[in-house]
Amino acid sequence: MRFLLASLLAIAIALGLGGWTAKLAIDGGTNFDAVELGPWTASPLAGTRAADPYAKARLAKLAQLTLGGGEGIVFHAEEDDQGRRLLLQCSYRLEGGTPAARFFTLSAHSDAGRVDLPQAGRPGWLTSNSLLRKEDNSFEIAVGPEPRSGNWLATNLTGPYRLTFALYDTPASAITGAAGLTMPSIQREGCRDDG
Amino acid sequence: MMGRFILAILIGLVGAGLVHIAVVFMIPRVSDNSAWSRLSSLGEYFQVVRIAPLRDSSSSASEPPSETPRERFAFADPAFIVASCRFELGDGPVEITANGTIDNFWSASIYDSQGGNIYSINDRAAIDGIVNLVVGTPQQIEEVRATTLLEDSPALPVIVDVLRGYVTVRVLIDEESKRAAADSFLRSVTCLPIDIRPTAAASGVERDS
Repeated sequence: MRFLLASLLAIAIALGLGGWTAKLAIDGGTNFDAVELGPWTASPLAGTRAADPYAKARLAKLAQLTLGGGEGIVFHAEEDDQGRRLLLQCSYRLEGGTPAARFFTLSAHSDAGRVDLPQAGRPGWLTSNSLLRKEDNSFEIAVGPEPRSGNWLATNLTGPYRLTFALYDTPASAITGAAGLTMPSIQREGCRDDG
Repeated sequence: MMGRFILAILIGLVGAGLVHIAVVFMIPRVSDNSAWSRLSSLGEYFQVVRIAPLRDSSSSASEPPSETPRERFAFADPAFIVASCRFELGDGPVEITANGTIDNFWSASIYDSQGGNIYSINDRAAIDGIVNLVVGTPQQIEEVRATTLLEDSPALPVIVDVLRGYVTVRVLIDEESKRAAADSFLRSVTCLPIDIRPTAAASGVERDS
């Protein structure tokens, strides 16, 4: 009887703890190969055969089509420059430049990868081809629920999200470190229902 | 009594490590939500299907999505429209083409069945900006090269080391006015096995003479 109890305990720990930690590691993302530029993170190896087993498992769970090196590279930001989680009800200002690329797109996704589309008629994504730039070729993008003049990416509802900054046809696809590359800063300007 | 339970906990911890590793390595093989599984449920081999971004359900009120949930992929770029097809190379190489050219940026990727990106290209790297890839095993590409198929043709031979995989073709829509043209361009995408046997036999004759 005691032996049975001990065996059950061992099996329960093995399955429970093993399964739980596996789920945690896969869902949370391990980012062994992450390249960080300020608040932005890219995983150049994700979606390639050189990806680590966790990244491969994550890819298989998400049904994500990663960009190949000849297509571009995707940066995600979950936090602003101060390390606060990005929230849909808050307004942000993105300012700066990007690594050399033919163009880029900016969009908002939930953590599960759903595109956050605002109400009809509002800009749910931006492409650099229609971006207003300053004299020094840098740009400023407003992200948030309040309408803005200039470059504006509209968000909807409330809750955490991540910004997806995709650079296309760029030598930055081959980056292995953050050397010499810059990405825009993310400053929080205020929140709608802050309270 | 206590010793036995401590032993059980230790065995459990070791077992947890093994289970952890097993789960991580099993998921790519068994997941029914991988890109391959989803594409499999959308169409047969060589059938070109559309892929859409995974959307927020709340936004469907203002803009009802026309696609089914299986067509929606995570972290897709909403600025793009995407076509995809699965291929298998058992019966020969596969040719991916689209009619004509388009001013918009386009890019194409080839993935193995586990989602690993094997090859990618964009409009500037392609010959004359034309979508025309001939994908095959090293031997198949060798056979294609022996024919006249690639002469005076913008086709790019792509050697892969897998027997099945999938291709995506993405077209950027940076202005809504370009959507119709991009859409018809993607609709012209074909993904078909090419029969190289007769010509391959002819090249065999050449070698003999």
